Amino acid sequence: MFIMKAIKGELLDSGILIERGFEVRAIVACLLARGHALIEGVPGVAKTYTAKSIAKLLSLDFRRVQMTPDLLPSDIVGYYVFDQRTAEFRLRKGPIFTNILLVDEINRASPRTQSALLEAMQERQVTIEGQTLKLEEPFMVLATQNPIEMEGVFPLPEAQVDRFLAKIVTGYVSHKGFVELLRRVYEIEQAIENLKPVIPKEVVLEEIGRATEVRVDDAVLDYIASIVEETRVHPAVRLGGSPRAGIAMLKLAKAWAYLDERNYVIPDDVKAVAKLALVHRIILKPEYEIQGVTSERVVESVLSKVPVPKP
Amino acid sequence: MRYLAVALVLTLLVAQVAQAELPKHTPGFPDVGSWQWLEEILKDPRLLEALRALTGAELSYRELLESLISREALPVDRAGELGTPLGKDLKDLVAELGDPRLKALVEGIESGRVSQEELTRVLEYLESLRASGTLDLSSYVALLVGLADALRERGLEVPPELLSRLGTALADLLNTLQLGRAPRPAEAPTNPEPSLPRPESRALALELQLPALSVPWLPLGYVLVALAAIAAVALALRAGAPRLPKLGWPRVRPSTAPTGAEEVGEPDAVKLYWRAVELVSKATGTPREDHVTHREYLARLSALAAEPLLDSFSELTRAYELYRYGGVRGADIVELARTAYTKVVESLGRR
Repeated sequence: MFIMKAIKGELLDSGILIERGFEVRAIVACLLARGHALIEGVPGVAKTYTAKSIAKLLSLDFRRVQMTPDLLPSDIVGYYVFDQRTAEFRLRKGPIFTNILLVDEINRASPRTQSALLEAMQERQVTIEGQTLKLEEPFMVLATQNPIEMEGVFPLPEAQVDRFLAKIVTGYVSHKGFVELLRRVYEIEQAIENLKPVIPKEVVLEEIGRATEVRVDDAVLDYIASIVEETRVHPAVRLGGSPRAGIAMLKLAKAWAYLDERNYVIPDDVKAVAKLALVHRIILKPEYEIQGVTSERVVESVLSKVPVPKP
Repeated sequence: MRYLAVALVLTLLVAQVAQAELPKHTPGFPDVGSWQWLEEILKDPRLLEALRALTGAELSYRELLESLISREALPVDRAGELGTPLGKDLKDLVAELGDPRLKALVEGIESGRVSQEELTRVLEYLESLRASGTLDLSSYVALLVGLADALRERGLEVPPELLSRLGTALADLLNTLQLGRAPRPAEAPTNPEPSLPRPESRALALELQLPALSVPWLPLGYVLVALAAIAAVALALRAGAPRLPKLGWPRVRPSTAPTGAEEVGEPDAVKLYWRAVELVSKATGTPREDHVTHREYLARLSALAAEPLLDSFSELTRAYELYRYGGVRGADIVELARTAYTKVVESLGRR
């Protein structure tokens, strides 16, 4: 619980991040669930700021990669260079060898580079020149993407988006929040620059361990399975949630409960994380997409249909 | 009494199975030979009573009912008891349906003000719900019976339209049971002064919808064997063998709500919570839908309920959550739930 309290105090209560409570909580839940988060939003809604400021508060190794179409897989994972002094090949590790990796505008990278990154995310290890290297725990990728631009981008295939535990869709702040942001813009920029790590690595690892021990009743497991299965039979859906989607929901629900200072999951946790875990895993039928049906609406409809555990 | 009734029903079923030429199941209707169907029949002891009386009769259910009503042996407004959820009163059913027009009508009846037009509109609306399958037949009958009772209690005249619809619905209900004989044209009794005027077109439609089942001729051998088997089962039950679960429609009346003091054992926290939900749903007119979580329901109530009720229900919800999902066991949590439940009941009593 310390992580969330510290982040809340440093970023939300202090007003460094305005109206980003849900996004911050979702990112921390992903960290506790040992997953990766994809943050999607139009340009200029503080996607990168949010991810960067959270990463800075954690006493963890933090790297940032700005994706471009000419970036190579070796630029991410690393490569061997010949050291003339020792006459040996020496490994130059890429930015993926870190605890928190901020991948900015992931859909700007070529599919080849995306693929290398996503493989590392899934396996938590990389293979360079036949040598397999494990990534240090905790390891989390925070990727951002802009859904608007179509030129010069390579949209992530559904199978690769599935590697992200959660997709966090972020939007504009309210009018009041916007005015507050304008009033304090210099102060906020300065405050983000001055952020110092306040959460030790040991605490992060300990809390990840505790979050996995959160109790889940069989009825809640049944509820999760029913929700995922219902997405498969929804008339607007071409491809519904996979078992991995259900696992993602479970992990996120546990982390969500933990952040609420509970050691057990309730159906409300499942509902709270359902969109995070499902929207990027559901593929709609084109005819419904044209009519304006979205994955969010499908998940909402499923949640309003599936009965919660009773009694 | 119950054993005798069960015996007769089982005898019928045995005879059904024994007669090879008789179809066991009519498409579109429940399977007469299945245990599920038997459970449906066993839901109410009064239904069993009626069944017992009917098995010896030569008439179809509809004919028998009409005959009983015309001879004033069965009051028309109580005839619904043959197969309706009797435990529920009109207010419960109206609350379940959640329709504001019906609610307004019932309030109008209670205050002695009800317009004929409004009543007609509501009756048509109920019929449309029944036709669309939103309202099941037995609840429909119970609603009509409840409306007739409420009108009579307030000294208002029960309109013939309501009685007519009630008669039709009852005939439907009894025919759906499929245990009566198909009407025999030659022997069908005439009813010169039917007390239930029913539109002919509706009656024709009913005739067409009726299943083609008839009461089988009961071979004596099978009957004797079946009765012997049933007697053995009954003796075994008496001797302390594991009892069959008691079947019945849920009957919850606020006046008979338990105080929680008589409950013993760990599942109390869950049971008490759901009882409280039923009571609070009725009192506030906010039913808890299937997809709504306990916390969401509490949040909804916070806008509707007064503080003492809200506080105690909130406490009970917390106890339920800890017990149900948190795995918290022991006397403390049960006591917490019990105390909160008692306060909920008290708060409702003060309303």
